[in-house]
Amino acid sequence: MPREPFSGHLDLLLLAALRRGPRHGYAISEHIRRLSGGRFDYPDGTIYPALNRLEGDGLLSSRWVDLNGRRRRVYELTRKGESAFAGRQREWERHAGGIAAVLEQS
Amino acid sequence: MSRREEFLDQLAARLAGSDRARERLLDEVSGHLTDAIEAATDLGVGESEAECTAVEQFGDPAELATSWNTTQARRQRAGQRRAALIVVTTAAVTGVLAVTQHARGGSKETPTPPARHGGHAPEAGYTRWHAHQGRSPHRPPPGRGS
Repeated sequence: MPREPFSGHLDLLLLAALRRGPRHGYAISEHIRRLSGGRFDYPDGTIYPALNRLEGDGLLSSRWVDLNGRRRRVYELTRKGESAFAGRQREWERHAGGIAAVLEQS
Repeated sequence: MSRREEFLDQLAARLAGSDRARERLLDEVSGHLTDAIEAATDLGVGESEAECTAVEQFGDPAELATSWNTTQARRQRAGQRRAALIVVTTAAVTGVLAVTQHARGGSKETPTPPARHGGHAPEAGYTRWHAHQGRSPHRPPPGRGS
């Protein structure tokens, strides 16, 4: 299966990965890779500037935690982030639904 | 020097911003590489191969630094704008209060209540109590958790 760049969808995927609780960068990256079946071809480092930007926009917060004796920085959705995720998910569903309708009926 | 150390050095050399912000990213990336290498070695991949794969999978340090520097600069500008807004708002509120007080005849001095004999001013008592407890009455600034 060809792998695709995921520019444009990165923010939505990152917000989705944090929907059910805090995760650190490696866990976020693995979550997206595993659930997407490896469809997206992206360097792991790509997520860090995006996480930094989303945190700056107030959609995420982050803190250092101790995980099995290792210090890891975990990210989680803020209330604003939860709301932004819901909005962007609806937007994506409308977008995907529109494309699917054209493909099916053409 | 291992591939991982080489990668971290290349990234560190290109990162802009405060020492704290740079250190934060480098610590995060280091932890990420540790987890990725460990996940691979747990599956039976050799240490050296796992390290090379993790570093390659992480991408180009120059591209990461450029992208991260852009977001960090944007965050710093936003922080400066917020600080400037607080200063302007504080100045405006102070001005309004001064005008209001003046309109109410604030030029007259508020009478000072008579001092109680044998009493201590609240601040003096607060300070004295903390001195007795061996503590400062002034709390340290709250930690930022980073």
